[in-house]
Amino acid sequence: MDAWQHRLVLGMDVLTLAIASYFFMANGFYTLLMLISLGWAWRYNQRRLDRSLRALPAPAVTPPVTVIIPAWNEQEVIVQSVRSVLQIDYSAMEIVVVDDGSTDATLDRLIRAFGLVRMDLIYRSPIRTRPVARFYLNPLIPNLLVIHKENGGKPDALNAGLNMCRTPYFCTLDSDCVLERDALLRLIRPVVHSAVNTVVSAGIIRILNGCEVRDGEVVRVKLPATSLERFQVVEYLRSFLFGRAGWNLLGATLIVSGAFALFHRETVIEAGGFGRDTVTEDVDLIAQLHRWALDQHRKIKMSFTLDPVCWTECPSSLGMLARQRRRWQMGLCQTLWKSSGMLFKSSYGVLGMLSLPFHLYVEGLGVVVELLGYVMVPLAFVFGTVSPALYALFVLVSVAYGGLLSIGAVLLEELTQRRYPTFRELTILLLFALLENIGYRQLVLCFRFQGMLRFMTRFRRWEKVDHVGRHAGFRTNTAS
Amino acid sequence: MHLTAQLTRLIVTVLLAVAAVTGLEIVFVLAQRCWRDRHFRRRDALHDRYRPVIEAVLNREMPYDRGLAILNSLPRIRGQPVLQRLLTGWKAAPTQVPLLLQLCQDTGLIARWRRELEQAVGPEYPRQARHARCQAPARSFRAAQAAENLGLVRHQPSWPLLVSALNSPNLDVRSTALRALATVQEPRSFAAIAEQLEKVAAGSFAGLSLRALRAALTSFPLQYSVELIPSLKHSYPRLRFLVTDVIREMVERQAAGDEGFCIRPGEFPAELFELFLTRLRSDPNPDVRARAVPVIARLEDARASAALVALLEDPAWFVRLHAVRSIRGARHRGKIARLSRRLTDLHWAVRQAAVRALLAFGPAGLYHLSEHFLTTADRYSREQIADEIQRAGVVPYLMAEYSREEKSRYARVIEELTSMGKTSYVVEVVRVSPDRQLRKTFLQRFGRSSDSAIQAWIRDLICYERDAEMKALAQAALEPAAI
Repeated sequence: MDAWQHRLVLGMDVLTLAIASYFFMANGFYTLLMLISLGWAWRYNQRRLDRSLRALPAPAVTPPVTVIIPAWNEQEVIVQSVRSVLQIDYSAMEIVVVDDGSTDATLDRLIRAFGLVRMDLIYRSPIRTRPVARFYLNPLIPNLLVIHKENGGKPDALNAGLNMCRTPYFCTLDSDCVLERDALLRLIRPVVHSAVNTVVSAGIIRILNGCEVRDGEVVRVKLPATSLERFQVVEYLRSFLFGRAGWNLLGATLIVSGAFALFHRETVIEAGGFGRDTVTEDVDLIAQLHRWALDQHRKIKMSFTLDPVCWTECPSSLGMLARQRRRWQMGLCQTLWKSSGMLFKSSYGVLGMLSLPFHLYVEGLGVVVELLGYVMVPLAFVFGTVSPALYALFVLVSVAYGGLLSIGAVLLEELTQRRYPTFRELTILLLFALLENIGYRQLVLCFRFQGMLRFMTRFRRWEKVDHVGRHAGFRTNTAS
Repeated sequence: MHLTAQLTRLIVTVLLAVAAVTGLEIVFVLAQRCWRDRHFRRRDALHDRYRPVIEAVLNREMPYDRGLAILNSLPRIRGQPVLQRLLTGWKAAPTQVPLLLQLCQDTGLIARWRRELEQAVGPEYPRQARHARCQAPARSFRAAQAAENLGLVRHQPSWPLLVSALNSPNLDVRSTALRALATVQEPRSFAAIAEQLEKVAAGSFAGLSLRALRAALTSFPLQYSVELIPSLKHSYPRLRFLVTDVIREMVERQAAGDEGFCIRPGEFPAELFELFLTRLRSDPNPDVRARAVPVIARLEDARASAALVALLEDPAWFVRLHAVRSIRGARHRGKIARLSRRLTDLHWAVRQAAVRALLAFGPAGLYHLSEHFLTTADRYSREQIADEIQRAGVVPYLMAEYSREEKSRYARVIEELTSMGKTSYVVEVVRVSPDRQLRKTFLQRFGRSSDSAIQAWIRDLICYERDAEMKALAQAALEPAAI
């Protein structure tokens, strides 16, 4: 064998080892997360005594909350989204909509829909933001405030909302989301019932595509019509039902969806607010809060519960999906880079020793490793190294194991929430859970790889995912 | 080759195992759904069959014994959960409650719940708590449900058992027992819940949240607050603070949003009355004083009024804040002038609260507010007042006054707002106002202002105004001033 061939074979052996270790580590840990989540979800479901919600609406126990809705060019969905929030059951709630320099009719539609009047209010900024240009309020709807500011990105908009927040807690909500009526009550429940300071409370995000929405409320849950959207339903189930639940139980939550999450205002301000140097400010904030709490020797708790549900629109085209996944991957890489000082430091507990390394290796670098795995098979054929059949089998096992985990997510859904009422929908979910790892996963992998490349080349542009509000009853009536 | 064959065999085995487990998962999911569908269909059928029976018994349309016999004939395993759900979820009218309770008793549900709860209440709490705190074995779950059910049907005789359950090693049992006691509202259980609060405040009892304890205590009528007197005299300030806050919340609940609600000496335990007026108002701990303020504000007594006024000058800013917020309603109208002094408070939150409190008093409060607004040199205070005036929607009222009397106090407030650059809302009111005189007056007065909102309005007038005189005035306003 020539020297270069020898080196090539050696290189491939090393890669094979890396791929194998990635496979065992990633799938092993996902399996562990799934088992933990299965046990926890079962117990949680049994413990969940819905009638306890009756105790919550009393002002004695529910602290005031401000819902902050950042919006940029969301004219199709913003009015219905705000209406949905105004309808939810919560005794002391304020809403701050931050129009981040929209160039469409977002602000105009809000003004017309809610009879807003421009006012010149004080803007105190414990966290620096881009200039705030205007405030809009209707004295007859005193709990709704709209801010129009210079475009500065989503974290900047959230910080502006945070600066105007006058309540001890705030909830971030994406402008295309629809909340269930008792979602905020369920989200505040861990805060109310906890004996420890709960600074973050997160719920579950579900796919709105395909559902019937009337007057800002989901009235009928249905699976979306297209395959792309159905794959995302399975993905969200896996991500929320065992990914987040599992990490939460280990006390090492790193990813909380900023689309719907509750935070303690003072703690977030002390930790510096939402960082503007990443494109996934929610993940970044969680890492920041962990770091701040450990550095300041403060005991905090982050909670994740299955109960509070927020419905959101998922990308329905490949182009939009690509934008979304590139941004998520880029944001994750940015956060991991920022948090690299915590890696393998025992002083940062489970987060530093387990969660961050896992996310770095499996979610971050794992993109490259997994892609390499797919590349190795044809290369193995070409160079006649270790049996191509072996490689092919290995790929088959990893695809099959992915299917097992996805089915596990559907199982968790069936044991807990059971939101898709018909047998047919359940069967479709199972089918798409099986098929997810044949084609869809690989496609998303490519997008994530692009995201990683963008991180490495310091790409900075925010790639917006358009929300069209296509779902029944959700589109804004332009006459309103 | 041998290694390759072994590896291949291993991977094939793993693949088959994964396929088998996946297959089992799929079968389990589908079976689970089928089972649940069947289970709920049967359950709904039982609901539909026995709900009318319960309704007929409660409405006395069916003899009790006959109804009971029908309910007792329910199949044990499937029927008991249905019966439990029906009876505990029943929204009974007050006259039906005794009958409902009787049904729960005679169908054996009460006895069963008590049995299940007794199993979770043991004397080994200190030993078990450390490892049992977060565990919820099936028995504890049933006990928690039992406690909840006893509360839902308001089974008064079970109150001692529920009180014992407050010391259960299991958190779920403790929490549901607490909620059940709050629902049952047995007077003798109030002291037991207060004792739990004392333990949690002292840090010797972990698990039950303070909010949950507060919610339970505040659900009782105000007259039970007499049980809290020993805690109010306790040396531990945190306990005094918590208990004072509970009483505050009980008073607010009784008031139910009525600003004029007040507590006369006979309506409140005399010792408690005195405690608030003499001891708590000058408690060394400012948190206690802050929580005592809203109660003092509701006491109908000359000393209460004097105490409230004194607390407006308290050294702690949050005590002053509570005092300001408590001054509302016709009873406290005489304190408006004192309230106005808080407009120059050192702390911005107190100043803000003072502005809001004055605005809540309507024209009387607005008078004092505008007086301060026009005379103070404190820029921050003026900014805050301008903020609240806009948020409260008072600007249209001020503009109406401006239109009536240009030199009035409120007109001067409008002029001050305009000179501060707070013109957006003002201009919007002018823009949409049907009052021509107002628009003309405003145009004549502020036409030459360089403010962008005013300039934009004037330009709109020039383009769209049909009134010739107004249009001419607008055009004249934009012309450079003669030197």
